[in-house]
Amino acid sequence: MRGGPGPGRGAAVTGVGLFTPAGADRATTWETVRVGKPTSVREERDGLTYLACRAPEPPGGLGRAAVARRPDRSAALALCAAREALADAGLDPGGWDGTRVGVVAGIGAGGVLTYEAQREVLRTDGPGDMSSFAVPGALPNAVAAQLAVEFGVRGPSLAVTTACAAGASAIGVALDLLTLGRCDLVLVGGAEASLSPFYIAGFDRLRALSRRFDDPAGGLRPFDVDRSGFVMAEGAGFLVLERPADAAARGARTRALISGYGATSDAHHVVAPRPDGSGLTAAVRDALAEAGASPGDVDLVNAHGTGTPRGDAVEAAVLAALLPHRPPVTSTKGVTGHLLGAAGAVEAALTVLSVEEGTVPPTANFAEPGEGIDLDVPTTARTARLRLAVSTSVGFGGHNAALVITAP
Amino acid sequence: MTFDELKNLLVSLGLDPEDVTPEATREEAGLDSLLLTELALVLRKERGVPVPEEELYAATTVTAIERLVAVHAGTA
Repeated sequence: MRGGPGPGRGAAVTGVGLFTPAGADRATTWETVRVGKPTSVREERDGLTYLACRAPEPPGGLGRAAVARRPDRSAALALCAAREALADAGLDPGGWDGTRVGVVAGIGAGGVLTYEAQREVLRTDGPGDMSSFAVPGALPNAVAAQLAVEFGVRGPSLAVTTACAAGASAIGVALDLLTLGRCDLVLVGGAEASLSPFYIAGFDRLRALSRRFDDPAGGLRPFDVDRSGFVMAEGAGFLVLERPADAAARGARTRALISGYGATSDAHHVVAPRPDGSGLTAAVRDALAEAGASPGDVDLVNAHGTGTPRGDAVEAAVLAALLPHRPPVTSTKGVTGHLLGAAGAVEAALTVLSVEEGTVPPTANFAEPGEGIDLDVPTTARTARLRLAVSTSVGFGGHNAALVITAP
Repeated sequence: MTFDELKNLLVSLGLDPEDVTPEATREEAGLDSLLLTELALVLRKERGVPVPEEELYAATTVTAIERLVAVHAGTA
């Protein structure tokens, strides 16, 4: 059992940056999510037919460090989102003392586009033709390391990898760093660019992907009766977190607070969720307890809701049992697709914007609830007073993470 | 390969155009060892100019690199 939050715990969100299939910046992404416009398209490449949510092309000239000049796509997307988050927080990395700054990056697959391309070069052309950027691009720490190099971050820099919960886990780790005083400011988020033949074909072999090829925009259908799997997406989301007192002292605008975090493991199966959802339930309960809140305080849930038959059923049952007052439960993945290792961070960012604006974003492609799903799933944006929201994330292997996000 | 062609190649590798001048040292141009190895690879595979990596490492300025490329391209 965790202790309560106590005074001064929690973190202020003073910056938000997004680079997603729904837009190349925070405002565009938020608008696409608010209107509920799906971004999924059909692609045929490398002998595969699949649905995908593609991020816009990142601009060139992303950074001055050698690797940042030729980054893996995951790091390029991360640099874009992180730069926007820092600017949003009113911070100039050129002028700060980086010794008290940390970076935590949630990572799903890592630099797999670089890995797969260079593996092919090695096979066809030989070792002497491999790029010198092969290893620094492919290593799972690449995003965290490159952000640290680019922005002069001299405190801890960490890669957190818990499959599709990684973005949320990263924020939990960042919260701990701030609470323990290991640094004073954390650039935290998630990045994913794994639309590669290996991962597309591999997820398809797990029967995890939607094959709604005749209706690409309707591919990912959270909680819907016709849901059949997720659509892989690429993108990045980053937040700037500070202790609330520090944010206030420097006069920073606080968009929302990260007030609680819960993390559990299912200890059940390599990909399937524990059928009774007890791990996810415990994560949400722990996060609420840390925030000093009760289930009845929840005004909004940004659900994991990937549109898989089993995952959505378990999550829906957990939320219905835990929250009998039926707050709106939305899944923004209907718009963005499943951002995998970046999903938890992007969804935390969207939840921050939801709370700040008082807007419940809709769940695109939800038309009729699936069997046994008894939730209030909004199909259009709603205006509401949102004091406390929960964002849930679940990863293959049984990682459960829940974040409580509150109005300042 | 003219200086401008070399400069365009270096910029395509990610260098800042303003940093790439004839007098610039490798460091000033931003050519660290990773980018130098990448330059050798691109010269050999895409331009058909096999400049040994050891000779590139020994070049201290952009002009010296330009000269090396000319020698191995048979144009000097």
